[in-house]
Amino acid sequence: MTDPTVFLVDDDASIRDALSLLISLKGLRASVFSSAENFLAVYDPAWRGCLLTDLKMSGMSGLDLQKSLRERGVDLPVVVLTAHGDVTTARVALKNGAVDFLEKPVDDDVLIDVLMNAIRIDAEHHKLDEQRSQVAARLDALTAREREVLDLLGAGMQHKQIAERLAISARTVEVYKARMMQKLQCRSLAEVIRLGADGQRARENSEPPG
Amino acid sequence: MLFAAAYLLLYLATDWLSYVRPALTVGITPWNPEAGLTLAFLLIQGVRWVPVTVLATVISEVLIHGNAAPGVVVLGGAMWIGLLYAGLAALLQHWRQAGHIRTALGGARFLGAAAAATLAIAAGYIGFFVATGELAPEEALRGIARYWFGDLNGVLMVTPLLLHSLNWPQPLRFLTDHWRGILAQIAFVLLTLLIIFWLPAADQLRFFYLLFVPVIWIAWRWSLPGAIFAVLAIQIGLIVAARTGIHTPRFIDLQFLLVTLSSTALLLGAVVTERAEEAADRRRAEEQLRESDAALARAMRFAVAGELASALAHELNQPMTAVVSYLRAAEILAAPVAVKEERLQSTLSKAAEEAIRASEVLRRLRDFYRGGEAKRERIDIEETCAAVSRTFQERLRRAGATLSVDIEPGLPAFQGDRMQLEIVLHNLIVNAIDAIRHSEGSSRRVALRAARRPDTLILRVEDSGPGIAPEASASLFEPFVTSKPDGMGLGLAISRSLIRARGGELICTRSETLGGACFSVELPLEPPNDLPAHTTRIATS
Repeated sequence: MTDPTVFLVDDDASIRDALSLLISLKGLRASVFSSAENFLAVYDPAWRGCLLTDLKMSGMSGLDLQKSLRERGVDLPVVVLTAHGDVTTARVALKNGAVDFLEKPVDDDVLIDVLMNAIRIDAEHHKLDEQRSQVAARLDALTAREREVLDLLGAGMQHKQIAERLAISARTVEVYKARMMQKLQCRSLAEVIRLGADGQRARENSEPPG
Repeated sequence: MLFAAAYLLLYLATDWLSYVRPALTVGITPWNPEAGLTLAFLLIQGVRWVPVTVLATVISEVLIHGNAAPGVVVLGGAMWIGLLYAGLAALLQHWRQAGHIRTALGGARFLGAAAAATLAIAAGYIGFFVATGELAPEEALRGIARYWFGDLNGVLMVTPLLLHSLNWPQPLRFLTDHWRGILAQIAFVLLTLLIIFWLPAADQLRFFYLLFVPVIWIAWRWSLPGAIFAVLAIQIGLIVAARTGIHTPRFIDLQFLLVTLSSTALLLGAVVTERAEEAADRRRAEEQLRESDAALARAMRFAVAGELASALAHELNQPMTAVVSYLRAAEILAAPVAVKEERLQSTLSKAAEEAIRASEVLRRLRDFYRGGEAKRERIDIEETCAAVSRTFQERLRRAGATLSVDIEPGLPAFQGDRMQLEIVLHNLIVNAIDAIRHSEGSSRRVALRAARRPDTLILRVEDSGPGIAPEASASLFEPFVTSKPDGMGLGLAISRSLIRARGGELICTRSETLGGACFSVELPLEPPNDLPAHTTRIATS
């Protein structure tokens, strides 16, 4: 299930049936769950798309589900469905990071717009994650010396200074730099330095989510 | 100043009118209305106007009584009178008795103080004349008694009358409303007087007690002002009789009769007034209780309607959402065949719009009942608990149950909507009383407690009933869930909605002290700021 999917959680069977039919007719994949607990039990980090959840459910509420996902580090975009007038709870959901909220009964155009937007956000998240992990993989391929040269270049040092610092010849520095640029698939020094900085940030941040 | 001049004129006029059958040489008459006029003047205008009263006394002594005593004696006597009336007025003001006489205690104080002051005046005044040789010493005792009764009569009648007459429109309306009864009573008084004076002088005294009948009747019927008028009528009758030369009994007997009549009228009138005011207070309190009951019932009905609308809107909105989605899906599915029947798609679209409209109606219905904003007012918890428990007195009596109220001392004032809090407490106590209905008679107990935790106010309603069955506790606060045959199942749902709207919580546990259910209202002392403006919210979650 790595294709973008709308994961619909609602304790009302008719709403699950009707909304999933409408969503699939609009060209999106839909997957339904009768409770938040059921969703959490089978959730797979590889799932892409967005979560569409009711707020008021007999067991775990929509807010509880949102909180639980956040605690697990899941960044699947959340769209909440509210009964009309329950603006307060919707506001809390938005404050907790929900992408949007929809009032029941939902109009199909608005529904699809909101869901598409949520899916796009998820895709962007995913692309960014992918890039990060690629960068991390490329940086991992560098040897310790190549890494040192990259960091010192990033700090703005000249080849001669780097050679002095590492007690090697300027010529050797050139060799390391060329090999490093090849491994990182970069054509310019500026690109190399940006990638190095990205990698630095990725290392400083904790483990990537998922 | 105008008032002082009017007083002076009135003084001289009444003195001249009542100057009948002077006894001895110092001008003593059966009753001295001008004495009552003097006291009323000092009570209304203030004690500092004493010089005017002294002046009035001197002028009347010289002009009307033709007192031939030396000027210094007359002036001294007048000053003595003025001094004592000023003292009496100050004492009455100190007792806050300067206005109407409303209570039996007030009447008794007025009577006692007036008797003492007039006795002192009489003793001093007569003593003055005896000391200066104007009156023979053997006449002194007789003179004191007569002078005393005369002044006391005047004070007992005229002062209350004038003080009551300060608010004229009321008695006037009174007269026009009840003229038949009043006319009958006046006729009664006149008849009694005629009977008495028609008799020979020797028998008159024996029939004087007849006069008590109309006086008591009138006092009982019309309280103090009526009683005063009755005695006044009798006094005027006696004066007229004396003036027209009808032979009347001995001077001192007449005076004594008048003092007794006046005292009776005053005390009886005061008691009746007190009772009438007590009854009026009680009626007002009952009226207030009924009004607050009615207000509570009204607010409760509104809350029930709100909860009903809210629950209905929520329950109907779910299928409505499904209908709208199915219809939108049907529109998409119909697209290929709509070529043959072009009305199909527009029909489906219209159906969906109608379903959305129905949903809008539900929303408006619920919003209407949510309209009122919860008030933020200062609530005295102790007073609120007392007010709520008062409304249950009758119901508790019928159920044979007791309700104990236990408020922790020193609870801080609480910000919230008092009516909403009353609704919640009312609902919880109604449930508690229903719960203990089938308990043993001796153990039908309900307790209302209020206590404070650091930032929270806790209100508990506990009962000695069977408690909440475990299978019922899960859906206890859901609307339309009830264990009562005639219940709607909204009381607890409404209560929880109201408490949650204020940022609090309503929970149910087992009572540790009474063994039955214990419902705890927990309210933060500082209400959160970002609460919705609604009074009710959907209770299900």
